[in-house]
Amino acid sequence: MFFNNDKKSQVVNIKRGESLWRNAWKKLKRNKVAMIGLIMVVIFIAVAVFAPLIAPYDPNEIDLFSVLKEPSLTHWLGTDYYGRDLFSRIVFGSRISLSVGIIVQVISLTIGTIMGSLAGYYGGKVDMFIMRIVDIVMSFPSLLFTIAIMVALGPSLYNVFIALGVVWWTRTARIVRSEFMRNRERDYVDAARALGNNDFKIMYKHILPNCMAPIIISFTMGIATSIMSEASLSFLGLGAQEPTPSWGSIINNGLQYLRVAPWYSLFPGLAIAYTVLGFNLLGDGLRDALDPKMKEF
Amino acid sequence: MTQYLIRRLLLIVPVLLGVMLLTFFLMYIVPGDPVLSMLGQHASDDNIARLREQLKLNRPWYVQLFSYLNRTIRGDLGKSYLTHLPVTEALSQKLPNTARLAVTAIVFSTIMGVSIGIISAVFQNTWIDHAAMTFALLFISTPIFWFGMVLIFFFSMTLGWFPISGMGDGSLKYLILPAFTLGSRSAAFLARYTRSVMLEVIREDYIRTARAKGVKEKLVVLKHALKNVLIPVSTVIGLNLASYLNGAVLTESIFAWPGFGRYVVEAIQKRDFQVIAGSVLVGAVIFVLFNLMVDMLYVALDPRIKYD
Repeated sequence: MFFNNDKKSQVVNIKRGESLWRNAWKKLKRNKVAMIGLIMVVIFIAVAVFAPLIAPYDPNEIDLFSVLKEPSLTHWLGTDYYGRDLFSRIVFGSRISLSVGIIVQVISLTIGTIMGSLAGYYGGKVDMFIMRIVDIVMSFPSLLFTIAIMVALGPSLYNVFIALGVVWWTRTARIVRSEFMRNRERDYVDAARALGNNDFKIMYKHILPNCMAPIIISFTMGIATSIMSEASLSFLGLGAQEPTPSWGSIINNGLQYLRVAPWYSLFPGLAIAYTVLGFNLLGDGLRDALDPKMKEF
Repeated sequence: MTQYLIRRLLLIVPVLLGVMLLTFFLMYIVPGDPVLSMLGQHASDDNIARLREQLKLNRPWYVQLFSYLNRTIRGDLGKSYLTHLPVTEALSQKLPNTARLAVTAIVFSTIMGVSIGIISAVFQNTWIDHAAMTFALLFISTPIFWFGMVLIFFFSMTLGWFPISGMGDGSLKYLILPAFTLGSRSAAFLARYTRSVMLEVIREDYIRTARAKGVKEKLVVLKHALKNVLIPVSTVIGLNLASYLNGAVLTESIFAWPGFGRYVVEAIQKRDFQVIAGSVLVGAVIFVLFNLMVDMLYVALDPRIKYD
């Protein structure tokens, strides 16, 4: 149904009854690098979901007899300043990263889609107003802006969701807006209107499904960005607070023991790099599969 | 061009006003009493009341907003609650240090990014290309504060080649690790972007013409293609400026580099709201002005683009 509105010539390439998604999945499966990304992401999600089964210790269990122990068979990745098992903390930290990634993206996707669709569909003054807000938010270097919001709201994981959502919706809004502008003049929109659909139905039942490809790409890439941003905020002491095992704050805590216990900060950093890399590889692959016209960058 | 410039400058006014409003709003909703954090928990009621009056904190919000806008436009960003030093003065000392770090990082990331991108494109789909792009994606996925820490551990603590932190006497050895840290992520972005632009350019007709008339491949790449690659690439370098301001906060905090970013981080730790608000505002203004400059540069570099 996605191609009803387009020229016939474009339909030819795709087999009958094959949806855009199935076609994209086929392309994605052929892309080895993207599949590596997908596997990395699935492992990450599995670790987060089954954290209590994987972690050998309670991540917050303090053991003052084994402070700053180096990696060994009892403590695979060593222990921190309170004698807590770092492997268990990193495993549980994946839950923080996963929830940040998803919740922040859901927030920014919701606000961004609503704002972007209104701006793109109505144009004119509505567009002007919304885009000025976007301009203003985007005038701030993103980390500085989230820092300001976090300082104003106070450091906590919930406020990280809000701060990052407030900053990142603008990017989704821009993408959705340009997709809506491209689509609103198309014949299928005229047809939907002629059939008596109201604006709301046209926007969300007819145009939005045609904009899903760039939204999904931005969602995947956005998870990587959100995880990285949360890590940066926690590293600066503005994210989740002790004893929550956020990867960024573990790195921050370990920094002062860099000389005596380099593993303390080393492993959580590898965990961040692994996770962000996974989502980036998957995002690259999705872009190639869903939207070959989009520029690789 | 002049008209375009004027229009762009006029458009900046509402954006900057919005930036100021937003900064004011954020500071207005700060929980707790800034006066208490200035005077400490044991301050007498008398002193608290006096300071509140002095800071106009007991006026209605619109009076506060007006006085905030009024003094901000005149370049007064308030004073640090703790050191009582004007924010503008502190920033004018810190920003040159950040500029020095950022410029070095930009030069490094441009040279690295553009050359790796071009090599990757020329050797498209060979192992060189794959290796370069894998490394680029690795760098993009690595948190820069962690990367800086790893560099400190290996090159400063273990090998002892570089000082661990600070700016010291300002010599080059202090600059290398932080600049490398700050530039690495941008270099990786730039490599990916340059590669994709190069792959497009190399399929253009004029490249085919150059090859057809027997120009050596080296010349085709370095003379004919490079020029056209550099135009979009130069804008991306400019637009990356935000990532340098963001990155400076993290890099300077790791390397104890006495610049803008470290100033912000110290203010966060001490909950010095005036300093944070002032710095964030200045960061946004720098960013907006640089974006304008980048747009101008774009016009200057590419005669095909005309604004009217």
